[in-house]
Amino acid sequence: MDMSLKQLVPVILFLYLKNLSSGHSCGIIIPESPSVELNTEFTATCILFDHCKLQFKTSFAKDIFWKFKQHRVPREQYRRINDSAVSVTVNYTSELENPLTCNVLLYSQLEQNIYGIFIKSGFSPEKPSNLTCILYQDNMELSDSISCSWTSGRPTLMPTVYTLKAETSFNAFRNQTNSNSCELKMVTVPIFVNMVFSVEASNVLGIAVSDVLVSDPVYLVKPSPPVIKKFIAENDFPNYLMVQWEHPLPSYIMLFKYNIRYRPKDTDVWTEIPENDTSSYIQTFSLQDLSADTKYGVSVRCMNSEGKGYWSDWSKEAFQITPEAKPSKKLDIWRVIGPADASGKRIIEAVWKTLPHFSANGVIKVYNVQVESLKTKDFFSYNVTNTTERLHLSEKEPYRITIVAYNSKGKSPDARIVIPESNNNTESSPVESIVPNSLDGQMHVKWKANTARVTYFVVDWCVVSEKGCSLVSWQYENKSSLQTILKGDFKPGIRYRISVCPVYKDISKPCFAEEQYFQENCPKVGPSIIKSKREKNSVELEWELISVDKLNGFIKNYTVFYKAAEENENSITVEPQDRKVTLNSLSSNTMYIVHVMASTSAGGTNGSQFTFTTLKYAPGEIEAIVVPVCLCFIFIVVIGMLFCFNKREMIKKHVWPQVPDPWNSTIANWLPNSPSQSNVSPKEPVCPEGSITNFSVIEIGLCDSKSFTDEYNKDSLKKGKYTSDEHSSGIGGSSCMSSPRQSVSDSDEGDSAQTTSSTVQYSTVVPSNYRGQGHLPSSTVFSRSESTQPLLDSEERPEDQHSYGNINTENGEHLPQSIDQDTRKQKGSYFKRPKPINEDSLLKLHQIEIAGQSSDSFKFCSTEDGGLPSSNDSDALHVDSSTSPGMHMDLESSEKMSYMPQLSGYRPQ
Amino acid sequence: MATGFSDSEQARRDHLSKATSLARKVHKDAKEMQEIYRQKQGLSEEFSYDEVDGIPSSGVSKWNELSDEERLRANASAFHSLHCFLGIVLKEQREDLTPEDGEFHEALLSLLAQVETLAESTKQLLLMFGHVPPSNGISSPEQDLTYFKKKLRGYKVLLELSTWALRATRDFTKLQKQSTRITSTMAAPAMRSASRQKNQKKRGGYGR
Repeated sequence: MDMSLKQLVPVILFLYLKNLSSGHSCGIIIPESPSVELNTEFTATCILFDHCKLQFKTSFAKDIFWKFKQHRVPREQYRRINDSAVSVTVNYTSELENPLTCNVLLYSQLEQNIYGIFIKSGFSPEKPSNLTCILYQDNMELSDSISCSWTSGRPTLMPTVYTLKAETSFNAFRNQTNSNSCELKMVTVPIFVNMVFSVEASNVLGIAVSDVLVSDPVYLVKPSPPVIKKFIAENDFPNYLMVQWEHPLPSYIMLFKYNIRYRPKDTDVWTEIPENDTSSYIQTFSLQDLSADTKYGVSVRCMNSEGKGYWSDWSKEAFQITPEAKPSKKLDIWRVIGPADASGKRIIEAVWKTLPHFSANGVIKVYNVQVESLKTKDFFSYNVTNTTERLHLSEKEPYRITIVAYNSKGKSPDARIVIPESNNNTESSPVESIVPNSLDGQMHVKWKANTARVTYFVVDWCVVSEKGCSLVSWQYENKSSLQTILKGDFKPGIRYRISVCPVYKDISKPCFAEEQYFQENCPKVGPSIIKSKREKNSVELEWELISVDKLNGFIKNYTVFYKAAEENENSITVEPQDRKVTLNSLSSNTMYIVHVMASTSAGGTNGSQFTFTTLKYAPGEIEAIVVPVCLCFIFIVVIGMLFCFNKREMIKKHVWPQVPDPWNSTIANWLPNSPSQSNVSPKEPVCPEGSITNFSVIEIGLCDSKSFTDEYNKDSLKKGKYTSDEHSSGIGGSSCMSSPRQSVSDSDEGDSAQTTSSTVQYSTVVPSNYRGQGHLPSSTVFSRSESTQPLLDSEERPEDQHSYGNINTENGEHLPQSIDQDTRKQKGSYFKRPKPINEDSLLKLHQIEIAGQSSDSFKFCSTEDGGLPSSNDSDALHVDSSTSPGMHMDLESSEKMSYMPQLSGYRPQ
Repeated sequence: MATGFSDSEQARRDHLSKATSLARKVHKDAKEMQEIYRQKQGLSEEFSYDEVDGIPSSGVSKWNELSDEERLRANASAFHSLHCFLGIVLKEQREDLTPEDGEFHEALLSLLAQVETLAESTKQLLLMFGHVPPSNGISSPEQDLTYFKKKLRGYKVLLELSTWALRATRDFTKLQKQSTRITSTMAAPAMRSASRQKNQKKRGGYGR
């Protein structure tokens, strides 16, 4: 049961509300369409209709609530009128949003709207002010409408209508608008009768009427601009122009006063003629004191002569050119005096400025230049068309230069200047000092001067460059003015030389000049280092002077920046007059990078980088080392030489042993058939000390037939056996001076063993025969050799040349050569002066010989096969090669070596 | 404004000046319109316009013998009557004589407005000088005129209007002079009224 009731309640409530909303409104809000002035109190009342009273079981007055859109109005602002009417009062502001609704709360939870209204809000209009009306001119009549405007005050935020009214005593006109201006259209605007103007502003919140404007419409006229009919010049009056115009309206309507202005066409500055001169009702006017040959423009305007109404716009400008007149002012002239040449003439450049238009009074056609010598009274004149004239005048005479300008109407007053004779600068200038200064974008110049004999000053300025100083301009100054502002276009970064020149009675006096920049800039280029003088720990740098064209300012200082690798950069500042600096405390043998910055007041500019390396040694340091060393060396050498000199014999003995000359050998006189005679050595005295040098015994084996050789040696030694002890003064004795080359010693085994260390070297020449010959040749040659060298083999056997590696392998055709030739050849080939040797070299030599012999052993044999000279040939050295197909050397078997008797005589060649 | 005049005197002088200017303008405009009318209607100056009745005649033989009030009253009455006649002329031009010439009608309308203003101004002057303005009861113009007579009457109205306006100008100027003379004897600095024509074509010069 409870559940069914709970389910039915929403249904019943829905049906009930549906019934309410679908029927007539249950109430109304009064006023229904209100317009409310903002920030004022507004009251609305909600009234519940009777037919709904029964439906609201609850108290309407209790459950009602007001809302502005979603925002409830506080209940404190409600006022209960009766059970079915409740009002609300609010201070209506623009923040309150529409709509305003009247609502009730049913069953304490369901909001039900009764009614709603939309409120229009705004302000009532303020009183219009500043009502002004204008009656325009239409062609040659007055317009048939009057335009009025006013200030409407604050915005009303709602539609507001402005009604403009114009009334005469017998007529009235009106018009409406929503803006603050309006036009009153009439059949014809009544004039010469007062008209009352007013404007009324009205909206739903109120009405406001402006103050009335009472005026005859003829006093509200803004006439059209007068039309200029003529603007004419009269030929005889170059400073006069006449303008003529038409009145904009007939005089029976109104009279006018006028206002006239004019200007030269090329300017925008108007000259206005005072109103008092044109306040009358005039139609022509003469403009006077105008510049000749100038195009002028003129314009006129007008208004009611009584000053009531409005000025017309300026008329369309009319133009006219004044006639030409002769130049009114003299030329502005100056001079530039150049140095005198060898002939005593100097270049005087007379310069002058073109006359300004207001002075030229026309087109200048020509300039007349007159030059007069004040000494000789010589005079000449001519015409030029440009504004400079170069004159070659003697420096010994003063000249007066007069320049006159001509136009079509005449000539200008004379402009003169006197060039005094050159006094070699002995005359001092009345100007004591000048101070040029750039200030506020202008070049100011102040100077001090004795003005007693000065008529006026001329201040000139020229641009300083490497080529000289080119004049820019000049200006005249009164003698009383000791300062001025130069009227010229000065550019930054340009050096100007400003001169103040006093002039006395047209005679220019010496000038006083100073240089100045209008504005300094950074130098265009930095200084480049041109010289450097390096030391071990310092360097002297010198840089070039920057050209004045690139300076852009006065050098305040130079800053030298230098830096070694991986070190901080250092700098040093140098005064501007110095262009060199010495950098000290540098590291030796170090590369530095340096650049110089030239600074003006505007900043600095870096020059190119310069790299140098400091010296490793200071000057003289090397000499200090080298000289003592050399001296020591020389000293040691001298000492050594003295020592050698004192010990020269000993040195000679050890280093330069005397080698006997085989050519001078007396062995030629030695009888080969008497070996015993060989014991008498003609060379014995050659070895004075008789000392026995070391020698070694070389056993020369012929081919492999050692046995044969040994046998032969035994046989030969049986015939003449020598021991070194026994024949120490013999042939072998001469070998004391021989080279370390081993020689063959012919001795017994036992002897050789005994004399190995202290015997004279001997050579043993083994004679040979043809292979296979069973007997020893009877002509066995036993040749002397004082040397241990095997040269004797060579001497007597040219084949040995071949066997020792001579590339000139000779065949049988060449073999029969004279002994002389053979000997010489062998001298050249083998008999070289032996070098001092030691044991090592000696050993090496042995090895070389051994190698050579062993390698050439076969050849040795074959050459013998090629044919040897017969044993009968006394000059030939016969070697029995039949039993010695090769040569065998054995150092260890030196005991087998023997001295072989020379079979054939050895003859001096 | 310290002119020495009382406000009423100043207002009267001011009104008198305006009325003078207005009368001059009406004279000029009526004269101009008279010529235009003659050309438009093809009338000859040799025609006699004496046949047209009812239009107040400006011709007087003893004008100098009239008082200021009489002259003002005559002007006021004449301009009121001419205003009525001019209105009829405009109507006849619109309806019958020159129905297509709107510009001409506009000009006539403009003149009509000025005549009305002049009539009112003259009436105001009478009041200002303490006189009673004439009543507006005049005989109504004759309506059933022939076409030609309508043309003649129109011209006659413009002719008389021009003449009356010139006469009014003289009357008002005379009154101005009298007022100035009286005031100058009574008050110190007399305010000279405009003698504007004398200033015409004055050449001026300006020295720079």
